[in-house]
Amino acid sequence: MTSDSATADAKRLHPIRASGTLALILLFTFIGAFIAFAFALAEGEDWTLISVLGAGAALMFLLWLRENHMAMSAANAVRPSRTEMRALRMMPVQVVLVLLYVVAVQVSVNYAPGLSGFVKGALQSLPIGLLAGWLVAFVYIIIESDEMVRRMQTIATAMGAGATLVAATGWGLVAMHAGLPDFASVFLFPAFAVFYTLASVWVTRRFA
Amino acid sequence: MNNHLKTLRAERGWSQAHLADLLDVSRQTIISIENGKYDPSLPLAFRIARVFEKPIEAIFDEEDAA
Repeated sequence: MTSDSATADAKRLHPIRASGTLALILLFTFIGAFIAFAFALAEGEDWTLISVLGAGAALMFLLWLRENHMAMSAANAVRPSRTEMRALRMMPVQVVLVLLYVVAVQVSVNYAPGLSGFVKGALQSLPIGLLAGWLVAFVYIIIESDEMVRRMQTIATAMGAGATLVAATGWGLVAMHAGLPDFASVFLFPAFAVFYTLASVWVTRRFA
Repeated sequence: MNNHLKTLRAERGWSQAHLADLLDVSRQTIISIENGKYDPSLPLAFRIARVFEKPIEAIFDEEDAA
């Protein structure tokens, strides 16, 4: 099969397709926005925005899953390496954990106060356990990747964490002098998700 | 660092995916090495030399000093 006919076959097999990178960027951006607004509105009753962002995050996740399935099942598909398979298996786990984290926060804020004792404590501490699970999956992907991908992810993590620290500290300095509201620490995780995604794009273009 | 990976791979009629499979790395890594955007670690360089049955110096060159 020539290269041109292989490309034509690939286009015929999946005519509507987002690039893998674009799908991943949209996914993480929606998740970041979803978490941020979920916290901002946790004590309010405005479920419309949370529902729209949550639905957007779920749709982006399905788009990413569809993109990967089409890429792997196309006639001209390259079989992913063992390290890539490990990362591909853990990414849906990460997304599910994040979505469960937001649900758990909503439950703990809206329903746990009505409970008491061990159940109340367990519900209100559940969100951080889910976030810790996300972190374990994140570190697993980095450790199990091949050396170049691991290097790229480490650089992106350092850039994302650095940007998050600079943004949070910068806002803290502004808030301190201008009397504006502080940057709540619960927003650090969604901020890191967005900065890490942007850093990943830059690092991928730098090395690939 | 310069390398002759692309030439050696073409001589054997191997695709990037096949070479990545032999070395247990991603195809992205092979692409980046061939384009000179990434220098492999020593263990990977040894694996590459073993796969091509050549010494490391025959595959990788230090860049000329300016």
